[in-house]
Amino acid sequence: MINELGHFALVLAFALSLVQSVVPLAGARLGNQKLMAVGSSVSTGMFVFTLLAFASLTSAYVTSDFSLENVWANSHSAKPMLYKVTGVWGNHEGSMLLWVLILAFFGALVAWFGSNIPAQLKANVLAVQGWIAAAFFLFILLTSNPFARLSPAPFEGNDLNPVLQDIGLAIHPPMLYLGYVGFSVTFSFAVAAMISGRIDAAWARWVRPWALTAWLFLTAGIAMGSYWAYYELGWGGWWFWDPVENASFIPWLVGTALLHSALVMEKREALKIWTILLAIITFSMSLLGTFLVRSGVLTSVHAFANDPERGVFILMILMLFIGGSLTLFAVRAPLLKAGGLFQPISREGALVFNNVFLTTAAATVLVGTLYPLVVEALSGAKISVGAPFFNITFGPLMIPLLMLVPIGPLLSWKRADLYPALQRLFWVAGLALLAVIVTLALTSGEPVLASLGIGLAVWVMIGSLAEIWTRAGIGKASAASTFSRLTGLPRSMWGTALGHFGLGVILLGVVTVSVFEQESVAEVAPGETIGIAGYEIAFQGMTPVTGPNYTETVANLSVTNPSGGVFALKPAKRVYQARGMPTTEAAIRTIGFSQLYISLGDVSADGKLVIRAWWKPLVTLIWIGAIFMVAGGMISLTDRRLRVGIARRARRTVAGKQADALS
Amino acid sequence: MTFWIAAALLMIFAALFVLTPLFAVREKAENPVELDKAVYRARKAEIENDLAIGRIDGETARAAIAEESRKLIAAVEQSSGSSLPSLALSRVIALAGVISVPVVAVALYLHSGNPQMPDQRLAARQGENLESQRIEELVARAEAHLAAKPDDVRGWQVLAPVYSRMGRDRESAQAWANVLRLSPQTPEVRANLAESLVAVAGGVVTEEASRLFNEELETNEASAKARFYLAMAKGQEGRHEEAVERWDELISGGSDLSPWMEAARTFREESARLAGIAPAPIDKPGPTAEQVEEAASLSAQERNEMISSMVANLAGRLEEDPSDREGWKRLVRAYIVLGNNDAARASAEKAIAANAQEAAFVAEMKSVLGQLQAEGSSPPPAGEPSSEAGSGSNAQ
Repeated sequence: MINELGHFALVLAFALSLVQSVVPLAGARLGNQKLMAVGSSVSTGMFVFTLLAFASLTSAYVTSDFSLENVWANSHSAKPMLYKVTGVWGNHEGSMLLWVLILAFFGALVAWFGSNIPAQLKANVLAVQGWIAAAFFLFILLTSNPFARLSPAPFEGNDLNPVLQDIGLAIHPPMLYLGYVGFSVTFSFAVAAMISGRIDAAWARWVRPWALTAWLFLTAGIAMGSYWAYYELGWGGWWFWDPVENASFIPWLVGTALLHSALVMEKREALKIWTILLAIITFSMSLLGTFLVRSGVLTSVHAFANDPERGVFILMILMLFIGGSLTLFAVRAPLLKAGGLFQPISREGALVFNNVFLTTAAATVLVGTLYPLVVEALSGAKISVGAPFFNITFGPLMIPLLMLVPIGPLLSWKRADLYPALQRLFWVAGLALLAVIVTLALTSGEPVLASLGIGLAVWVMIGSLAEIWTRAGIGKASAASTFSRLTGLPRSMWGTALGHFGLGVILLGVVTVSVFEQESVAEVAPGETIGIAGYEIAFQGMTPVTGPNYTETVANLSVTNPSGGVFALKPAKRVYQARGMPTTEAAIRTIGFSQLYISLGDVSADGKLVIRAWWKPLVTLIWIGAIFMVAGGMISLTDRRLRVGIARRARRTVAGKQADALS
Repeated sequence: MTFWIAAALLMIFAALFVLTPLFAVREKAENPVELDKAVYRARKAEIENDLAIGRIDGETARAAIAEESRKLIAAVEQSSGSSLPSLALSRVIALAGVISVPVVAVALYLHSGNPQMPDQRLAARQGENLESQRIEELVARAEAHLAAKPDDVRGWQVLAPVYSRMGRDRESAQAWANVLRLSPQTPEVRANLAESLVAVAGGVVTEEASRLFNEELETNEASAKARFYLAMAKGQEGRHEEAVERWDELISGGSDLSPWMEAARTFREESARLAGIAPAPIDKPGPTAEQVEEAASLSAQERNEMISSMVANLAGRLEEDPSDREGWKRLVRAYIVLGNNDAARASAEKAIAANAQEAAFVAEMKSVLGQLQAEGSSPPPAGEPSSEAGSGSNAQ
């Protein structure tokens, strides 16, 4: 009965989403407090019932109830308990249920923590959340119902795709969804503001934490997804420009722009149109990502066209929400009162530059992702747009942006002089140049671009800390006063610095691993060794091992490092029994920030084994940088003060100049 | 029923989320200007704080505060006075909201739900199906053994019929094919392989199966299984007259006790009807269609009771009219099927006593008595078509 009650709870959640779509909106229109209050209460109810449905599905997975078609298709009684639970969202139906669960969760969060939001705005926001929820509940119930039953129930399930049986999958999709869906809140705020026709700094003050929260989860989700692909797929790559990855990266790029734009709006009431438009586009890109990943259009446009039910439904949702919100934007945006004015060279100006580059970069990735689909649909030819395209389009777009990262925060609001800001960064530029020279010297000057890249990374990393450095007066004031100034700095400033620093760290990792990576592939018999980057890898033989739902052959490797120490690595080839599917389990050893990565190829008839070994210098910085970014976001999120951007005055006094230097 | 009670509770719970604010929230006019003022005060405090810690000088702070004040004035001018709420319309909307929850939920659920269907947790199901569990385990062990020793004819021979009974026809065919490969002289092996192939094909006697049945007949002319399926094949090819001939041949060669007899007669009649030949002259008042249907819907125990009562009826009728030889045959067979050999023997003796002048009948009954004495019990003779295949073949 639990299965059917779960199903019923899901249907009730849909019914509540309909109420939430209409009643608070009508309340806001009629000025009726009671009807507006229904929004908060019902969004809590919707979350409770979606949670019940999700719990019921989870319980069916845990108890291997194969009378649910979804459980039968994606689970197996011998699967380890952890993967029984993560299997709930390791498939289409379950992951859509998780999607709406998170959507309902964010709606409920707005209801719970939004007591300081004007009632009318809150009612409109919740109503828009209700529309999104209703559309997706209907999608689940009509095309992807996880509670579809099987009778008679089979005795054994089909098992989960082995590639997905991994701890990475346990956390990374929920993180991504928290990010994707989190942007629904900023979208709802934007639409609600356009409905009521009022957008001001106070509005931005409520939007910023939501944009930041969503961005945090999306950043963490993408980083985890990247690490998961890195160690689980066994190819040693950390980013593939794969459409599924791009689907999460595009919202991240636009969301990053939104984050900066919302900040400007809160501080200066400028960039209103930007902020509204970015809020719409960010969530639209999240929806597009959901469509790309969930409709099956990526596997084959034609398979999608033959079984279009799901895809067409999501496409309709896409058109409804993107088209609807953009139409509303076209009608209402001209009515928005223009915000604070600013000169081109100012903090606002720098952030417009940032927005332009980030959205252009997002558009580039979008084109590269959709182009193969369009070509396949029109001509039937299967092409793929890979790393070369993105390297020559996306890369150059990032360079000016990265160069600007340390400068922007040093500019003052409204109007600024470039020179004093640059003056404060002279020594940073000097360090970056030093890094370039050292790299050139150490690598005998071979890849010039690589040393420039490393210089850029150093520039971003150290430059990000420059603001804190100068504000604290390090090297100018006494140690005690420096410390008190450091602790007195607003946490949002630490957040900015850490976030930008993380960006530099990622860049450093990306540049070093792309240029200085070493690879060695050899077919070895037991007793033979291969060498890479000073490490000697000796193959000692294969051992068969039986796991809970797989059997594997483990290669016993003994690795000698350059200084003579020895450690063991055990990469393996696994076969999952239920699906008869082989996977490669790479062995990874982290040494400092670098990694030794070994995966196995085929075993030949005479017992020889193909071993692929990579030396990946500073590769972990890619994910460590992401950790810095997330940490920066979290610190900024804890800073609940209003952000006021104090403009530099046009009229000059001696005292004013000193203040300007510090502001 | 319990489901609908629980569902109703859930519905009430859901409706409460809509109802509570309608009753609990007090209508109070919210003044949007107040919120603007609150924002203004908070921002002003931030600026004053910056001034206090020395981040900005007094002049800048004053200018910034003046800017905030201008924003406040603009905001207050923009916000219009709230209109009086329309109570009637509000009530209609509230009512519609509350009613829509159960209506939408029940309508959608009835569209896609299965309210009667219980959960089927694997742990609970394993308890119920200990026996099938055991068989599966044994099969798995046999499979493992055969994987290691694929030339064990005996193993394949044991496993093949087990597969058939589990409905794993493809594996059964594979197993018989292995027996044929390893020991082509095994009696009935070709017929058994062909039978599995027929089951795989959903009851259709394929060309390959026909070939195998004919090969079987070359060495083992008496194979009832081969003759049964070849007759069926004729029917499936639409050559009903030839089919009737073959069925008659098969029926005349077997006794009423052959397990395939019922099926053969049914097929014979079907073919005869299609060929336009008169039905077989045998007149046998068997169970009516309703009785058969009823029996199918009963539990095993109830079915046994029903059969027992029908057997008792037949026995009673024969007491009154002991000359009904067909009746005696059926009674004896029924007792054998029910496992009551003593009653079968007694009935056969009574039948002989009552019809002593009918030599053929007496001979048949005596042979049955001889079999009963020889075996003590009466398992179906080996090499006869199994009942599943017989019923599967109805799908022509």
